[in-house]
Amino acid sequence: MKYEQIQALLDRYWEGETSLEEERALKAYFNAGPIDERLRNVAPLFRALKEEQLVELKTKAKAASIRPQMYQWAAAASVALLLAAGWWMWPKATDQQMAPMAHQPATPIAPQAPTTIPQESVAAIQPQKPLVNKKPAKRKSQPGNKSTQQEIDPETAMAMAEIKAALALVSAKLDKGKTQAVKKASYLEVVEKVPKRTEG
Amino acid sequence: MTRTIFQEQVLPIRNKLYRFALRITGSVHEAEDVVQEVLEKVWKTAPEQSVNVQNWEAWCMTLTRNRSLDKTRSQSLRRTAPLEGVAERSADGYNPAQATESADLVQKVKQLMQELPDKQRMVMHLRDIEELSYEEIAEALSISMEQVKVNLHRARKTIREQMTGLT
Repeated sequence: MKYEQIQALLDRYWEGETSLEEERALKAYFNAGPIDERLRNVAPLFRALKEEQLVELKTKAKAASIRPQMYQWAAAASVALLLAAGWWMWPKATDQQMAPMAHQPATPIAPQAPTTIPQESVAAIQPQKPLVNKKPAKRKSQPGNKSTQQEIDPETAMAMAEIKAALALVSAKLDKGKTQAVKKASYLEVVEKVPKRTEG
Repeated sequence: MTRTIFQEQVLPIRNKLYRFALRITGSVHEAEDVVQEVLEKVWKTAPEQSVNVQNWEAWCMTLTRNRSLDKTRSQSLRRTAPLEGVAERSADGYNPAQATESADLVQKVKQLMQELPDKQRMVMHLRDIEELSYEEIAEALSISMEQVKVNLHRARKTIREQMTGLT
């Protein structure tokens, strides 16, 4: 397009008299090939408009907005898991505390117990007896089978569970803190610029 | 709201909604939130209400504007913040020597637009970036056609004046 044509369109553009079609023509002109030197000073506007038209919602954004919720669920799930683990460990730990005294005489008998009372008897006991009894019964089979491996287990496991719980808490707090920090940071950036703005 | 309407008329304009939210809030993060909230709200529209919606795009734009303005007010965020995420976009399609020189000016013009008063900024955005008709802009912003024209004229005039100061 010739300089005169563009200049005429520009004049009407500034007055708000151009049609959408004419405005598209202006954007096309300033974003395509070489520009007439006399029009160079308005080029940045039409390039800016063109660039802004290309701004898109990134898919990354979606993932980012979903992630905090996922972490919440993960945190809730791990807390639930740890609670369950703690509840499970509890009878085992008390069991093992008594074990040193009961152990020496009990070891020869212990291996027999699991072999003779496998599933049917456990199933038979389950409905009648309170839940707590079920645990020791199951637990007892373990010290007999693998007492050497499991000696450090209960205390370590308890400690590990505690550590995990603490870490999960820290991680949850960190995550929350991070999102808040990001918000605050962007807020501060913005606040610096407030005085520049003129109300209209 | 039916799945078909949502997929065919609402989802395709999410980038448009995002750009508009970004224009108002000046924050990528806030704009993403706005779009998500608007899409959610539209999706949950009761069938008897959705029958009344003639123009989903205009309605979504209105929701986006309201939600964005709420956010900027509640957070006392000002959208004079430079648009995040657009700064690194390189100007392509013309020779590199010119490009680097003018890329800076392009950023400055974007900043000028961002500094316009709310209404002027919104009108100019919908016209010059989203290429809506005056009627559509009036509907989206719930203002008269006359208001659209006046605000657009003022916005362009301001940009023109300030641009001469740049070069």
